[in-house]
Amino acid sequence: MMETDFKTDIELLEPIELSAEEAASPESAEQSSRDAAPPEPTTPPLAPPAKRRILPLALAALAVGCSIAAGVWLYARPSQFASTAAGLPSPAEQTTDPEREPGASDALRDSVSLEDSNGWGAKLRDVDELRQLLQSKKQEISKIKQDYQYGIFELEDETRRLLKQSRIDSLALARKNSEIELLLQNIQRRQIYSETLERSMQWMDAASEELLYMKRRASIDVLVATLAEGIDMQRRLSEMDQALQKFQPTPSRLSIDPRSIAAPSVEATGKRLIEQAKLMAVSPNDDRNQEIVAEVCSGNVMRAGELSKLSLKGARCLAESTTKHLFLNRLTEMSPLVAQKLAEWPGEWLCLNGLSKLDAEVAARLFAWQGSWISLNGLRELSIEVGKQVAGWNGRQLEFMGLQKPFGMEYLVQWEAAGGRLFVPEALRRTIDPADGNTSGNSDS
Amino acid sequence: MITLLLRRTTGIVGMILLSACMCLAFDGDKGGELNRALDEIKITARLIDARAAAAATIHGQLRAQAEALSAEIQQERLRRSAATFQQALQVDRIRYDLLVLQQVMGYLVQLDDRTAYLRTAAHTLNVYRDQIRDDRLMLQALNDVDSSGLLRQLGEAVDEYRRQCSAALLKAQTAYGPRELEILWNGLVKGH
Repeated sequence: MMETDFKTDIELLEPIELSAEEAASPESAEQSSRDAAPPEPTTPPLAPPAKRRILPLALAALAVGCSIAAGVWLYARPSQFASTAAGLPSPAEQTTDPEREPGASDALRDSVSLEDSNGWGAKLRDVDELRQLLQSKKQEISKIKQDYQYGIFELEDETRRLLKQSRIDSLALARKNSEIELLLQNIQRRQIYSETLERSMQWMDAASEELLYMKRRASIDVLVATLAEGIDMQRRLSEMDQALQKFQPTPSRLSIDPRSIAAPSVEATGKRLIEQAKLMAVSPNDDRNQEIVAEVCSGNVMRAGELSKLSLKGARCLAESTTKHLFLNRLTEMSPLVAQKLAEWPGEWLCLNGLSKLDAEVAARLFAWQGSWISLNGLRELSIEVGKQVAGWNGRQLEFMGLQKPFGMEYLVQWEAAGGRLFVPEALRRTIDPADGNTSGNSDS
Repeated sequence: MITLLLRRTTGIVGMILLSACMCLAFDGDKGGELNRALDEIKITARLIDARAAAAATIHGQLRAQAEALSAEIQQERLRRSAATFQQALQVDRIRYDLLVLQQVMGYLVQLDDRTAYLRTAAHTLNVYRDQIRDDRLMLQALNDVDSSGLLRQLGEAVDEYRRQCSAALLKAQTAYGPRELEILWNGLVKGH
């Protein structure tokens, strides 16, 4: 910390009152002179001729006048320590306004006046607004990119299924299959689009960071401007104006020519998918699931509850449906991507009673859903990580009627205390409300 | 004869009056000089205090900025797993924060120097003030004292301090060397 307790003791600087004998003040000196002046002769003893009488009196008066003038001059002459520096303001001026610096550079004075006129305030607000615009645009693009990314995974899912179904195990064969070839080209196109969006987001990130840097640097300059010299505030202002122009997210700046992006090779993608398809397990219900997904995607969700496995495409079609209730109780497992897509569904009640376990990643996506009621009655236990995700959910009703162990109960209690209705087995309810055995949400059901 | 006597008497009285006035004016000037010196010290001390207060205010604000920037760099360092200086430079936020922090630290060092100067100036003025008070007491006691040397020194000091008070406390920070940035980064990593 800077020490500032070295102030001069101004109280001690008050001049000492001098004694009357010292008579050092100009007023007393003048008074002394006046006291010493002879009284004017009113009645001279002799009456010389007027001319002769006036001359000595005039001389005496002149002598007295000279004496007084000499005294005044001696008093008022410049002291030895008076300021001699050319251009410096007088002490009185400096005392009146110590911050006013006549010797300061024009740039500094300009900066002060700029600050005073709020020129900088308005400019810094412009920077904030542009940064907000960039952030909002970035979020928008990020969402689109996520959709593209999901679309890529969906196409890869589809390609693997076709490869498995057609028993294709080489790239040459795969590329002869027009359906697979089309899927591979679509994947490549989406990858290019996704990369294009990524570059736009990187541009916005860099722009936003540079703007923040300029704002912070300018803020520091404005802060020290009254005490500093050599800061070219006009130049700073001009740089900021240029940046405000340069970083406007205009279409021409955001658009990136896809041809400038090195496309991921179709061959590499094909080979990777063939290898993955070889490792895929085949379920007797695959065809049936496929049929149901096709129905769901055509707008019919009547048989959605019969799905034993939910593909990415199926999750997307369900997320786009307008039904209020989804009963997917035959699903025994769910990938994080599927959970993320399902969380976009604008319905009210999501029933996933077939899930016997839930990992934290899936839970994080599932409990981001904006609906009101989730049933997870197949879960036997709740991990701490999942419990934390549940505690942050915004919904109104939760069913965990299959829970057997009281792990993570504190998070459920926390969620319930925030206003949710929680349904758990009686045994666990008693651990929550040991005193009165209140069954809370359970009894309401 | 009477006329001659009157004329001479008038002349003598005039000379006596002139001498008396000169003496009074001379004695009064010494005390006045010392009084004015005290006034000058007081005014200069106020200028110094005002300057030091302004410096302290800006110093506090800059210190707060430096702490906020350091905290953000630490946070970003952990979030982006930037272990080395080269990795840190790849992260826009860290790189820019380091540049601003370097600017702030440069100003802080300059302010520390100026504050030390002002502290010394204030102390020196206090010493001069004591000396002048002593001389005034001597003048009061002996009706004479030679303060010319002291007043000359004080005049030079006051001139210098006023010049410094009128000058800018800071100079713009322009040159940022990568080496200095690296030193700053290393200090932050070590938790300085």
